[in-house]
Amino acid sequence: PVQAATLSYANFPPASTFPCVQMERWKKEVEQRTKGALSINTFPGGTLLGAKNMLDGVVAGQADIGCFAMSYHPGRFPVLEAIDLPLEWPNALVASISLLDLYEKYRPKSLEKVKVLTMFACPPANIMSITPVRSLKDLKGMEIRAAGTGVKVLELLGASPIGMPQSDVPDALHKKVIQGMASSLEVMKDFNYAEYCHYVTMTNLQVVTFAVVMNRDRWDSLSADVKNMLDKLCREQTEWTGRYVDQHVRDAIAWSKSKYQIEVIEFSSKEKAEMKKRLVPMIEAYVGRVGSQVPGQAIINDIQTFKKANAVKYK
Amino acid sequence: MTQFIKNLDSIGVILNRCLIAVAGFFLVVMMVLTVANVFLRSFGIPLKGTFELMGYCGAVAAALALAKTQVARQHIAVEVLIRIFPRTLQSILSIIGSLIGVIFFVLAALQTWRMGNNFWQVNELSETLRFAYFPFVYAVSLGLAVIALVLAIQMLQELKGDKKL
Amino acid sequence: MSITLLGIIGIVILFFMLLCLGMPVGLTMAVVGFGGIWYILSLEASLSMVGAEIWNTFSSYGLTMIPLFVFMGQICFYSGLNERLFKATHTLTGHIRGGLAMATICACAGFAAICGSNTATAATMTSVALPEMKKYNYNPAISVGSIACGSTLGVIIPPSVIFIIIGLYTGQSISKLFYGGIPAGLMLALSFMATISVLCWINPEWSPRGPKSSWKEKLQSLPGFFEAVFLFVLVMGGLYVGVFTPSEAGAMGSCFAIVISVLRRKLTWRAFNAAIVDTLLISCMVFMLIVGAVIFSRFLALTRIPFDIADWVAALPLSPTAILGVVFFIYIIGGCMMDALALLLITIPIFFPIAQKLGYDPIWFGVMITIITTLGAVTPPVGASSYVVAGIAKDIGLGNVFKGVSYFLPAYAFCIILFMALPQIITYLPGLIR
Ligand code: NA
Ligand code: NA
Repeated sequence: PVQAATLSYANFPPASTFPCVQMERWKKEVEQRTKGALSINTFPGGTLLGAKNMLDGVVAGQADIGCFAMSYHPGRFPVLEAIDLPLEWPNALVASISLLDLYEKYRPKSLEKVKVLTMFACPPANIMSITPVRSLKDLKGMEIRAAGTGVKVLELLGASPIGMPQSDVPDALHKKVIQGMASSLEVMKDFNYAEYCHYVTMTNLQVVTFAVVMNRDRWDSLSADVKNMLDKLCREQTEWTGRYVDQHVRDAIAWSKSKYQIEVIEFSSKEKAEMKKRLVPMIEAYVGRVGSQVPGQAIINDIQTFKKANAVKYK
Repeated sequence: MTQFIKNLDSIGVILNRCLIAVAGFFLVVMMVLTVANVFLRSFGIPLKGTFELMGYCGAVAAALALAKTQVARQHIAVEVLIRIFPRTLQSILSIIGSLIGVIFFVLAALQTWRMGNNFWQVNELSETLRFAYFPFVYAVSLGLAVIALVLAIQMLQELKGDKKL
Repeated sequence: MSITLLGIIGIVILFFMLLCLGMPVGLTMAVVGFGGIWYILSLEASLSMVGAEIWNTFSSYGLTMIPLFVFMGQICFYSGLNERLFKATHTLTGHIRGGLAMATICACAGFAAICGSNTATAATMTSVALPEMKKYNYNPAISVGSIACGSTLGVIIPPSVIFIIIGLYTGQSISKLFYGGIPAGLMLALSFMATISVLCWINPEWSPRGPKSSWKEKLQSLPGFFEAVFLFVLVMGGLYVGVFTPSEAGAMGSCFAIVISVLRRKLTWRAFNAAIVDTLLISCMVFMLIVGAVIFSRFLALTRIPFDIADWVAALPLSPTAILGVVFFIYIIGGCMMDALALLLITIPIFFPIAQKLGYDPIWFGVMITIITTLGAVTPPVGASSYVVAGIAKDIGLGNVFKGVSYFLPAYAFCIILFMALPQIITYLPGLIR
């Protein structure tokens, strides 16, 4: 009993966060380009579907479109999870475009049941801390909040990763239960972590990858014109989101610098080389782990090629 | 028929006793796990994945207690209006209510079972420890199935007029 | 049929089933939400939602706080701590009219300072305070009313799950919200005690006055406070120093409670098992309520009623104060219909920007909507805290809980108007931190 021209679009994080900002932008573009023939009802903040059941919910038809983090499902996306590895992504834009390139090259089975509308990645994780981290030695044994891939990454770097829900982080920082956290830097402003963490070390570690997917039956019911338009929008949207969130991080850092005088630290080239060396086992472990399902090494090589090309193309 | 309900009832009682024992075990595990994590963390060796394990243990503890909570009439209901209805009407309404409950929990149990199957198939792993957590989903499904059974028994008893609901 | 009308029909059916079938509240909300989504979308979509929400709620780390804080309370309960505590309280305040109910409010405020959730406060305080008030023949309505309203302090006095969620969803500093909650919670607690005092002055038979105890007796009763204070200091101290996080405090508190009770030889194996079973049943009931509220709110979100209301408010041609009044009124009505948490999750992203555009202090607004939605947690027809109290105080019944709550509504109204007139009460402390 729902109008055919209205699509529901579910998203899990709060409305102010970048996955929702890109959702609203996509909605506006689609409504404009179809001259209102297609209208989108957005459901931010997990009002319709939560983070973990987004994909299955879209397959079941609970929402027509859903945006979810593939990184929250380790093991489920053996091809695309390679993007999550600490491959020294310079920014979200390059990681996002490379993610889409990888998807288009392999068309992985794990997303067969849905139509992919766009993909993007958050900016690479950096270390925010109460006391400065100027070298890997400073990081040794430091209790850092991390999630997903970040746990293993920090372990390899010598830190002591701690898993805890987002909601405990400010209190834990305040009481120094943890000495910092590793994630993309927009949280410095968005969640006001700059109030506690006055030091940022640019490590450019792993990213979190997102996919926006549509229910297959719903997709099939659309006209050829609309399908063409949406397909064209896919890459544009990836690029827009990457640029937007990279700018958002730059703004957050500028804001934190002016409000809390935070210091941004760059590792020396020697430290950087050491960091890279320590993270190699993770990439090897990935290749070994997915070996029976997908060609891990070929995927890593492809990603490196994409990364190099996109870094030049999107200066 | 009466004997059948009685047998069913004693099965329900035994089943509940087992489930509650397991649920209680998981509750204690949750406490011990957190306390151990707090202590070990102060020595610089935090237990990785405490956070997700707590969630899974909590799920088992709560789900396996569902049926017992129903037997003990702990699930809150609004009985203000019903009390003034005549006894026969009360009985009919409560049978309808139980029937709705049975249908819902059977569907929920089947669906969570399917979810468990799906998590198994697509290789859904926990975020930090990266182990397949679908058995916990099956445990929740079991809890839902048993509360459906208990509701069905209560409905049959009401139908036979054996016990006041 | 328009989708909005469908939503309204859903709400009507919910109340009909709640009142006429006597079905458990959590189950009813879940069933109506399930049916509604089935009708709007499909059976497959609805089933998928039900399965996922049950699993997500049951396996949520944040909610593990509930069983663990309840466990701490039950351990204290079965080792007789509450009885000793209330004997001591009664010795001190027994000769005052309504002294025990006032002591309950104080105890709720104290427990609120270590517990972040309404329902956990309601569950524990009911088992702790109610038997004592029964023993001294307190009026049942005023007894459960003071517990239910006192339990709302759980999320107003920090730590608070609601403040954490508001902070995260709006980018406001959680510590500032916490500091804003302290004066608000204390003011509410004082108003509740004033209410009790007035009520018991008008109806002396509601709270039989105890004998006035001598100074010697008062001194002798002091060790009765010892365990409770010790436990409180351990949990609060641990939190303050940063040995553990708020989510871990429940488990630490339970562990401390067990250790203390065992050392004092007050906890038998039998009592320990009883505490576990009670904890499981109470937590399970709370979880089922949350599952129902979440499923029902998914249905409401689909009908877009919450979003429509927000758009309508933003477009009202009224003064800022009047719009704010409308927003608060919507929260009061919404709080009556829905679970506070579910309501906030749907409405914060919509109303918060409106309040900011109107120039209201975000911390003040956050604290105000917390107070107003928790008021919803005790008002009929859907009030989670009241249900929890009634669920444990079976012989007193939900009707009496709502009656008891109604006595305290003027206290809420007074505080809400006071904070609107003098926002500095809330904004002063947060302003002091950087
Ligand atoms: Na609190
Ligand atoms: Na209410």
